[in-house]
This record gives sequence, structure tokens and C-alpha cells, in this order.
Amino acid sequence: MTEKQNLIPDKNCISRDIIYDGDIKLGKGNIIHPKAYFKTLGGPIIIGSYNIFEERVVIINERKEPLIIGDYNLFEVGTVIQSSNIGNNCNFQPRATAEDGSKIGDNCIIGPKCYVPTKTELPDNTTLYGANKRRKYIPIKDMQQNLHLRHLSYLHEYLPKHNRCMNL
Amino acid sequence: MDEIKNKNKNKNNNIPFPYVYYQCTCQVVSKIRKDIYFSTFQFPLKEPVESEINSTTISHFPPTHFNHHRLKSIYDLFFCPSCCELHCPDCVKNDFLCFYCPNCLFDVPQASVVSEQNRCIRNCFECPICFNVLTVISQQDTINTTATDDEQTVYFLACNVCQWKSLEINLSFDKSTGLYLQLQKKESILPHEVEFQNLRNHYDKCLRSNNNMNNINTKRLSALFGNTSSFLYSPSIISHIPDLKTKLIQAKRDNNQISDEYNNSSENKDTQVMEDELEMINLKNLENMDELTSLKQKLNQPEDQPRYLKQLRIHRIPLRVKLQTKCDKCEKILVKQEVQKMKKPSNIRFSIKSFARDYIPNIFIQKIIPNNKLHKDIPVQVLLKFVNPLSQEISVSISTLPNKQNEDKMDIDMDSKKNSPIITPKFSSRKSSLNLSPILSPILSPKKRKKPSLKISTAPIIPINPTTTTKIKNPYKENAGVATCNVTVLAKSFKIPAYDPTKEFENDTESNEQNQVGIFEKKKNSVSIIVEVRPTGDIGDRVEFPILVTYSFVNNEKEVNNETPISPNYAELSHGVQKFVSFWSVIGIGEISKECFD
Repeated sequence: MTEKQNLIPDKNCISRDIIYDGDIKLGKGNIIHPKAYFKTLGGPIIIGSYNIFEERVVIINERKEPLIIGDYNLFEVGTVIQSSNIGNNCNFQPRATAEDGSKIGDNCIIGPKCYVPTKTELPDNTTLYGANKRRKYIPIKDMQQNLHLRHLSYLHEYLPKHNRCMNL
Repeated sequence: MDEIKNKNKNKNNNIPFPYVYYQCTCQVVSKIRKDIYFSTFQFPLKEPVESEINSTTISHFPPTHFNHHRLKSIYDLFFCPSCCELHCPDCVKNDFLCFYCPNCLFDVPQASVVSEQNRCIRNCFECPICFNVLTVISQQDTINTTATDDEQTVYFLACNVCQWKSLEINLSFDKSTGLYLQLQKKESILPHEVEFQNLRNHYDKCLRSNNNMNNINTKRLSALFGNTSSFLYSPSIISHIPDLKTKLIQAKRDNNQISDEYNNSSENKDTQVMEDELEMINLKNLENMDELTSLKQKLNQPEDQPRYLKQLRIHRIPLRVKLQTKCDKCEKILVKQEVQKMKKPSNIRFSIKSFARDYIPNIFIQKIIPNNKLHKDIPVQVLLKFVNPLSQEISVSISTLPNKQNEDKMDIDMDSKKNSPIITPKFSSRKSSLNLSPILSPILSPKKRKKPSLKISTAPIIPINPTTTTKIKNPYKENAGVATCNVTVLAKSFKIPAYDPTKEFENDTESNEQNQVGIFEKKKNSVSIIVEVRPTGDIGDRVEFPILVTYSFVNNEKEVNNETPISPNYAELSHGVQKFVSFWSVIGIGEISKECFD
């Protein structure tokens, strides 16, 4: 995996067509698609490394404490994160929502249109699916990370070709 | 009171404007049935004679507000070409056509359905947790690609929705294909499967021995009665011979005592019997509900109904059934999908489709002039477009209900309109020849006769000539409050040219022919007519009126085209025989709004 990780540039690939406001700290190798929205009304947003933010992802921090997002997360189209901390290797599928003050552990998968209710803590290796049903699953971390890295390297190559991007 | 009733009726009927809806033939049938019941008070209800349902009878049963909710759009209706009737989804039969798998879409022949327990034999599996489709994933992807080529790849099933993996129940496969066979091997060792097999073997034996016994008995009896063995099986015959009956019962009982009881003590070693106490302890020690199965999951596995998630098993996807639609009356197939045998599963073509839109003139509201809000007593002109989908020229005649308020004035009205050519509808001539069937005729005799039966007996629905309409004061007393407009159709009969697919994209060449009075325009296979509507109701009333459309055509061809095959019955009408088909359609154009004097 280290070989593959080396293929990914350290620079963040950020589309120019995003809206952002406030104190935002980015790690390395992140991808931000156009029309993403970042806003802080209180504390900063601290984003780790190798995350993918797809179109119309909304990340808002309304608390005074920082909003911390870990590494290797995938936020698919229309995800909304409101003042909640997120671990590593999480996957937010289209229109998933993390409501105010929730906390999401590692290796969590939030299914399409599922939501994490306010002030709840989602333990590691949890998946939400269907009508917000919750269950624990056995993650195969290697496979998930492998796939994520492949996704990242592809986007690093092709996103700048079709969008106006800035490498920070 | 009447007003309140009307308002309630209006509330019940809330089809959005504007609309053109059709009345199915089954409405007429049910009305006739109701009439028969009210005249005879006999139960069960008698079916009307089939020959009674013709264009003349239909003309006697206009749609009332009472059954507005049963009116259908043309796209929901079927047309049976052999009995020339409209059918709605409520009056057709849905029959079995074939089995198919909802995942891989392959049709499954009926023979293999039973042997494969109604489930798909391909690689289609159902998630035991969330009942979605499982996908095959190879373990090789998951392992680091560092010199693991020698290792054997392991396949497992995973659900993309709930992230369940077959590894959770320690199930993996050596090959990615033929998973069903691999699964079957593992399942055949399961205790309930073994038990089922034992039971089956046992009762097979019992059946065989019983058959032997029966054979002996019949042999004995046939010695007495000759070779009429089927005769002997009837219990009535046997019961007449008391001695024989007791002997037979005795023999059967002995036989049962010997072998029918299934003794499962020998196979008990295979079955897992959990002690209740043990289970109680297990359940008490549970930390959360995550390990337990839900009711739905239990019922999905009825053989053992597991309590724990680890006891769940993978099931193949249950097959589903494709239906074909048949005419309720003549059993002719109206809609049928092409059945493909083991190839082209994505084929969704229909081999038969008799939709009403391919057979009857399609009516559209082309324009309402002026296209403003409707006011009381301010007439509007509605352009109705009739489109002929058939490849023959059809002649259409239209009639409406008698106008409500103007019944007394009818004479004057008709006199004033003498200039306009009012062509009497075709059935007007047939009105006199309307013969009541033996079933319908008793309706006329009882004194308790209800109003609907009046319709059949005397009331000509269509104001053919003013004298008759004045005689009958109110043939539709039920709808009297409902008729909220006066309708005048000038072009009461016209011809629509045949539909020609080759001319579909040609530009219209305006014909120089002098248009008939009341016809707005003629294009290819469509004719637009002018209908004048004068709202007469109160504010808030719905302006909608039924029209009776009767169309006739002469069938010259045996088959129109492949898409709309015409049945032999339809073809029998060929060469000069005119076929009349009629139906009621209701046209709604809007609500009467407050008058404003601008």
C-alpha cells in the first residue's frame, strides 16, 4: 500500500468553483470537487489527508470547538456534515447527513439518505442503511483503502483536466 | 339538501381539469345488473345477456357523477377486438404467463421451477439481513499484492447495502461460478434438510405400501363387481355395503398402525435440540440486540427460525411471475409479453397489446376559446380533436345529453337552429328497433320500478327530436342537479381519414374542401370539431359533460399491421359489413368562477 500511496501527490487538488468561508485547515492529498461548501461560524474545520469531497457536499461548523475530519474519508454527492467529528475510513453515501454535535467513529458507512441523529456517537465499524437501520459489520480495511487510493489517484489525474483546479 | 348533496358529489369527484375520460363497458354491465336486481330483487345478480351489450344499450347508460371515480383515461383502457368492447383494469383477467428471476431477468421454465423450489438457479442470492442482492467478491482484492499469487483466491458474497458478508457465517467459495451447487452441498448436511429427506423417504414408503393395499382391495372388489374400479372408489357405493365398509376401514387402520407413524428416534442424533435453560442463559447474557434476528429475518428462514444472526443462511432469490391480460368475456389475450427462452433476458417487447388508444378514436381538448375563467351563461367554444388510430376510414357520430334548463325551450332552440345541419345520430333510427331481452323485459312490469330502468324502457337519451324530449320531463333526475352546462354540437357526424404511418412526417397540405359546419380543421388522421358549452350551474360547480361517441368502420383488410393484429372475429366482419362501436366519454373543462364585470 505504501507503494500506491507514493503515487498520490501530496498536494491537495481543489476545484476553484467551491464556496468556503472561515478557518479551514487541510492535510495533504485531498480532493475537493466543484460546488462543495465549507463554512465556519465558530471554531475551525480541520481536515486530515486523502479525503474526497464530491459535489454539493456541505460542511458547517457552528460550534466553538474545531470540527475534525480524519483521513481516507469519502463524502459522496450531497452529504451534509453539521458540527460533527468524523474518524478515518468513513464513507458517506449520497445525501447522507451527520446532524449537529454527532460523533462518528472509524470505518463507518452511512448509507444513502441516512442520517446520524444529533448528539449521538456512532461507534467504529458501524453501518447505517435503509431506513436508518444500524448494524455492526466486519470491515475489510485493506480492500476499502486500496479502493480509496485508486479512486484518489484517478481523481488527481483527471479532475484538473476537466475543471479549473488549484494545487495547494 | 339537494345543494349539499351536489356539493358532496363535487367534492368526491376531483379529477383535475381539463380532462377527457372514458366510461368502460363494465359500467354499463353493472348498471344493467343493478337494474335487473331492482326489478326482480333476486340474488345472486343475473348477468345481462351478452348480445344486450351493444352500441344501443351503451347509449342508454351515460356516466353519472356517482361513478366518476371509475372513469378511466384512454391510456388505462384496453380494447378487445373480438367483442369490440372497452375494458378497464377492473374488468380484465390477469393470468399466469411464466416465471422469471427479478435479478437476472431470465425466464424459468415451469418444469424446473418445482425442482428448484421456486428460486433462481443462477448466481442470484438474497441478503439474509436486508434482502437485497448479494454480489460475489474475491478475497484476492483484499489481500496485499505482495507475492500472494500462490495463495488460492477465496470468493465470498457481500451485500452493498448493509455491508453483510458471507464471511460472517463462515461461508466462502473456491470458485466464483456455480455458487448454487457449492451452497447446496453445504446445505444438504444441515439437520433440517436431513430430517426432511428422512421424512420424505419414510412417507414415500408409506405411499407405496398403501397403494399396494388399495390394489389388493380393488382386486377383491373387482372380483365381486367386475372391472368397474373407478365405480368402486366412490364412497357412496361402499357405504351401501356395511360389511365391506368396516372391513376396508379395518384394513386401512391396521396399515396405518404399522407404518404411518414416523419414528424419528433413530435420526435424532442429527438434529440439534437446544435446551431451554441454556438458551435462557444465553439470552440473559446478551449485551445488545445486535446479535439477534428480526421477525422478518426469522420468517425468511421458516425451517429453523434462527434467533442469532450467525445462524442465518443465504437464500437464492425467489422467482416472480409475469402476467398476461385477458378479456373477461371472450378470454382473448389483450396484453402479452414476448416469452424468450433462455436468451435475451432484457427483451421487453410485447407480442400482443390491444390498448384502447390503438383502436378507438382518441379525443383531445385542443383549445378552449376564449381560454379564460368560466362564467355562468357565458358560452365558450371547445375544440375537440378526434384522432383515428385505425388504418381504415371511420365515421363518427356524436351525441350529448339533453340540455337541462332548455328542455322546455327545446322547440324554440331547435327552430332557431334549423339552418344548421343537425344530422341525427345513427342509433336514432335503431331506437325503435331496440328489442328488450327476456331478462330485461320484466323490468317494465313490476310497479316498484326504479328510475334507472326507466332509461331502458322509454327514455331516449339523445334529443333526437324535440317532441320526444319534451314528453319525458327528466330522464336523468339523478343528474339533474349535476348537469352544469348546456352543450351544443354542430357537427354531429363526420368522417376521419385512416391513419397512414408513411405520411406521419409529411407537412400538412391544407385541403381546399369546404369544411362541414362545426368542423374546425382536418389534418391527416384527425378532425377537430367545435363544441359550444354554456355553463349554467352555480359558482364552484364543475363544468363537465358526457358525450356519446359512436364510430363505425368497414373492415377491408384481414390484418392491419403487426402491432395491432386484428382477431379472426374482427376479420370476419370484412367486406362491406359495418361495425358500430360506441362509448361514453366525459369531458371536463373547468369550474365556474365568480362573475366579474370588467
